[in-house]
Amino acid sequence: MSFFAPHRRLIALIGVIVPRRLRSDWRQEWEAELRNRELLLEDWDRLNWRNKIDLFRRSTSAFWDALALQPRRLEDEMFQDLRFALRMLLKKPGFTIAAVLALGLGIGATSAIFSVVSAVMSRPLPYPQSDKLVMLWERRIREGDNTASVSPADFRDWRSRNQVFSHMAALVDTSVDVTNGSEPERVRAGIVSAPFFDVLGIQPALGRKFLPEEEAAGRNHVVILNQDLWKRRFGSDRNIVGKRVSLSGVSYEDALTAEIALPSKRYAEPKQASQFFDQLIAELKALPGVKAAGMTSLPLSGDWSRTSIAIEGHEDMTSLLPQARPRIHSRTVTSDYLAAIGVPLLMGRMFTLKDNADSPLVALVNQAAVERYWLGKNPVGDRVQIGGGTPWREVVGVVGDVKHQGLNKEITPEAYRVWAQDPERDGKLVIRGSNIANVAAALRSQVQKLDKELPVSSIELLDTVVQRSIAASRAYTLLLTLFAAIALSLAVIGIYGVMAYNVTQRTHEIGVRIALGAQSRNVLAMVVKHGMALTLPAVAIGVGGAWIITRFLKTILFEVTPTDPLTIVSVVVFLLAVVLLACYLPARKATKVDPLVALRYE
Amino acid sequence: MGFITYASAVILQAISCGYQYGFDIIDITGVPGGTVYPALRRLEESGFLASKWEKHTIAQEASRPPRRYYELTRAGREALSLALTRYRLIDKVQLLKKQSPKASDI
Repeated sequence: MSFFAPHRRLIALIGVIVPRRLRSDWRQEWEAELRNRELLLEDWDRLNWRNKIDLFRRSTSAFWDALALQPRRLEDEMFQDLRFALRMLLKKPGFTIAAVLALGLGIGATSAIFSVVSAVMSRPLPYPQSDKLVMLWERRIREGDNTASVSPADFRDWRSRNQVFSHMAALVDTSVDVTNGSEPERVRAGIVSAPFFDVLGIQPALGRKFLPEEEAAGRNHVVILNQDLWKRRFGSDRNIVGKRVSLSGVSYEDALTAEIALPSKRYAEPKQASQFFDQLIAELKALPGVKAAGMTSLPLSGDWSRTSIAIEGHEDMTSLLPQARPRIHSRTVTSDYLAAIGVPLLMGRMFTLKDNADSPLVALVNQAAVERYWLGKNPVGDRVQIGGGTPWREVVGVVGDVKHQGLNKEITPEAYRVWAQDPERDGKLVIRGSNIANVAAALRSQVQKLDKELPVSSIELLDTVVQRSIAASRAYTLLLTLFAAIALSLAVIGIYGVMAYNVTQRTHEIGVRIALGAQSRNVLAMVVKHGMALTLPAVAIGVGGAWIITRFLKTILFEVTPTDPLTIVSVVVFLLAVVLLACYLPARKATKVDPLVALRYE
Repeated sequence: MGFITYASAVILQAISCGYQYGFDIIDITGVPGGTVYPALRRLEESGFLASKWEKHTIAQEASRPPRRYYELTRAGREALSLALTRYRLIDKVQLLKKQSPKASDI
């Protein structure tokens, strides 16, 4: 018999992967079979090569046998480990709860954050190749305005000299009244240049896109409807292409034939419009519960275009062409509007009913405008020109700032003109008063009484408007608050667990120290010092990381800078307190224990 | 009564005929060892087989470790007889198929 028998060596080797419980039996069975076969065939040294190969081939099939036994390894050792783990976990319920919480929160938060971030924040726009879509703004450095609207002439220049974009289109956000059928309805609209849909890379489901020649003034008016409006307002009429659609009292046609715009007949004269609003407001004010009712020319929320401003006597402004002048948000309001919306008067006076078409032209500006254009000096009595070529008007007062652009936007300079002197044909009505829900119904009937065909849309509480303007941010904020709470709990659980474990590990050492005469306060100081030495660099790293990452949150923060010192300091202090507690509690427990017990503690 | 595979039936048959050691089963059936051994483990686990180690005295005489041999249990014998009828039936069916006239002839 030889010790050099490769087939038996192979069995020994393969045996390594056989589950431990079965290994010795397994090896014995194979070895015995192979040895028996050898003996039958005489000794190894005397075997011919054919028999040797046969034995080796047989021993290789032991590998498949060993592989087939692998599931039992799982069963055996997995259940053994699980039972052991369960016993240990039950023995230390505090640790178990912390570990389960940390795991649960960690896994839950990670998957939730991932789905939200991927769904909301990094979701591409619903256009093909949306990563190649860009939006261009004009930058006005002097006014610190990075997202100024582009003038049509500039846009034409840009487009004619464009060498990098496959298509360029301009877009003006507006709204129109759809007046076909029963009730007029105000809808969002975009005035766009012809290649707009080429830019977006989308094809009309019906009809055609705008033609380049349709950009020219005086051409047929054409409109493309989106699917929602088409379904809701036109009953998904597949023959709509070529039909006339009535928008804003201006008769527009759909994509194929044409008609030229006619202004609304009834309110052609500014005076007529003004009269209507005066009448409406007067009647509204007479309603029970109404304290103030006013109109504004612009919607209450949203980023709207600006016009130029110049202050009489300020050469640096008046000498400039209107398009080069500083910009200001300008809106026309009725005398009661500011009272209705709740804007405080800071200097001078508010508009009154005496500010009418026959009296001197007046304006109000907000505090932000005073700070930027008057450098904080009293503007009352100065004359301003709002919009190039318009008449000069006297500033009669300064009012508080309103976040018309949205709560999370910066406050911008604003000027107010009075409706009676600068009538507009439509606007937003603001009514302040008690029992406002009843007023809404009364408002509708009042308008109907004055003019049956007039659209009244979006009657809602000012609060709702504000809520909606921040709804998206609010959703983010709610989610992020939740995530932050989870992250903070994770941090607390993690830090507490690690530090407490760390200190508990030192129970033996603490016992030795106390047995040798250390005072418990010395021991406590030592443990806490050690904990802090570990924690402070970690806090530094965390704050540094937060500093870098939070800048991505900037767009959704409101009155909090991404690196808000108060937030960071309070979080740091809180976590340090947790660390202190995590060091102190187990250390105190260790110092209270009889040194002999502590010494035995393992 | 559990259904057993053809290979299992062959192995049970070999054991019932006295080929009780792994290698003997491999040799007599011609089924490769990589199939025979896992099948033996499975059959033992299912209670069709019982394994025993041969006596130490025999092993010592031959100066090798004791060999493991397999025996049919009662369940194993039942499974085997059931499998034999089943597979015999399959053979018969195949024969029938050969002898029966083609559908188109009827």
